[in-house]
Amino acid sequence: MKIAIPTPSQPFYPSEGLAALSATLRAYPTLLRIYWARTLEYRVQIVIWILSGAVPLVMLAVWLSLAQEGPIGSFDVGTFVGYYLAAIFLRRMTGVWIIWDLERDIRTGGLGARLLRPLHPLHYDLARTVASRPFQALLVGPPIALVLYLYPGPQLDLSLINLIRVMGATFMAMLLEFFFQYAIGLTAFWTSQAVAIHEVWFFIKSLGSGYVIPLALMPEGIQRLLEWTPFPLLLSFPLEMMLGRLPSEQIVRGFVGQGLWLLLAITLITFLWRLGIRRYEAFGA
Amino acid sequence: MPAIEVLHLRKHYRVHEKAPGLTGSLQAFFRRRYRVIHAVEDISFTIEAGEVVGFLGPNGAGKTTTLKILAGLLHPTAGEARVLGFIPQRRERAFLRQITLVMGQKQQLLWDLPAMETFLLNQAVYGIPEVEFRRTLNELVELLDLEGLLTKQVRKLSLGERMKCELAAALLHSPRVLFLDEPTIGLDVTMQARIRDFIREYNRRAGATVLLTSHYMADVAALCRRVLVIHRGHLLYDGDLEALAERVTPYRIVRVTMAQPIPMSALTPFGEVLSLNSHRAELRVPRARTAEVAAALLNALPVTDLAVEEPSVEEVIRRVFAEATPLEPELAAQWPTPLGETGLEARARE
Repeated sequence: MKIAIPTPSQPFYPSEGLAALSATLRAYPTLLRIYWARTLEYRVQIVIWILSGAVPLVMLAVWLSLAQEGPIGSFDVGTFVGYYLAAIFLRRMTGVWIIWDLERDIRTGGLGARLLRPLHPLHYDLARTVASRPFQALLVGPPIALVLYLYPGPQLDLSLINLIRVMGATFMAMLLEFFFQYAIGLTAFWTSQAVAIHEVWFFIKSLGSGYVIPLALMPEGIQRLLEWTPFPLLLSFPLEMMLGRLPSEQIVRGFVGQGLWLLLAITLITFLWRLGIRRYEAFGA
Repeated sequence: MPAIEVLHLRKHYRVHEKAPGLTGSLQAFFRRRYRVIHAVEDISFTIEAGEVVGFLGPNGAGKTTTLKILAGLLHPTAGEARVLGFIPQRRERAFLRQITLVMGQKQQLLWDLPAMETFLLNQAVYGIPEVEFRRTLNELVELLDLEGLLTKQVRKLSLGERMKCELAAALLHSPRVLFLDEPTIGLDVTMQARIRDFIREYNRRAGATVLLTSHYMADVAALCRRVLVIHRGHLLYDGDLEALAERVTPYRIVRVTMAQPIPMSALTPFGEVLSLNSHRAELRVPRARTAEVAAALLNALPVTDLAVEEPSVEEVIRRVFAEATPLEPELAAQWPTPLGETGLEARARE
């Protein structure tokens, strides 16, 4: 018996880049399925993470006691309930947890094995990130929906068009967070402090994305400042849209902003990757 | 076209040094001191398609560095490497699809899932058509005896089982060139033999080129007719393993068993007596005189059994390094080692 080594019979593509893109896209269904299976292996861990993400509930309790006297800014009791419950859900949908693995892979040389396969290492992490969404949605979605249904106050804009918009903005927010986190992870090519850098990013993001305090309740100056950063687009944008609080011109501006920041993040990654991988190849981490 | 061509390859690293302890850390924080490591120094060799070549050398000799350069993970500092006509560090898809690097100490299998999932992932990543995938998989399952292992979670497999699955995962895309870095490390003797048989069989069936490093001489002796001996980044020897044995260990071991105990004095005329245990003895005899001595032994003594053996590969390699060690890198660099003539050959002429 003889193992036939086939000559790679690749379909013809005008460029290496297109061939790579096509091969990458064809690999995605399997990548997603396998990382979905892996997510299920970690189900208990994920449940614990979710339970430990109680910040919005604490904040909600604080605001509710303050709002007993009357609305705070444009927020009454019902708005607060809707805001923080939706925040919990959208946080599950936009949160990304790749920095630790990426940093370790770069620092300890584990990246090598992935570099030797004909698929950019980023795609494993992206597929893993996307594949963990359905499980989290199934876990967190129903109880939140139930509470929102039973609690009479909160007003969500549940029209079909708005739900589609929110889903789009949420997915974009997840991509944005993914690419920024990946860029931070790539600093591990130069420094052993990538995780520390991410801590700073995470802290600013918690405040700047409306996760802890609704941006609408922040001082005007800070709101103006945040408009120049990607942070509001990471959570506040889809969140306020879900509550039906955004006029259409702000919705358009949000999507355009997400697109531009995504472009910037991808450019940044391309740049860091090229420089970093050269260093990796020189030192052989 | 040769499968692997390496010409005057060099790899130097700059590493920073730090004295131990807090003071050392502080010093290193303010002023880093660097040292250049010459991992590979001017190595040249060519490997033809279908060859199985052993890469020998002590830890830190530059074996893994060379393999990583050939697989495309490291940029050479100077010199050239070609694998299947590709420049490895460009890592073109067509190149990556035809090679594999297995590192005994690193793993690619997804830890929490059955190995089959990693295989399917590789099928997608390498774009292996279904029919071809099934055929290769069946062959690997048969050759490596993987039946029943593929559906078990990887973390529940034994080290040997995992290594077999690693090998299978690394070969699903039917690579033409295999770089194996310590593929049998940590495995028991039976499993080592099993992996060894597999590599031999894979090479025979697929005609793949194999370059392997191993600490276990048995691996090398069993698989490779040709060896590259590397030490401190220099290539000391490139050629036939047997020829190397003849050159550096110009003797054979003759084992005799006598009908009755005999005194040491009766043996000394025949050669250097390595051991004498009442009626069993081991003698070291010059290669050229082996037959003569054996005949003389049979004539003169009440021999019931006689065997002639080659010195072990460990012994051969120990000798190569023993000769090379006094040479400092600077000195060794002056050693004439043009392609086709190894340092040893050059020395042998002197």
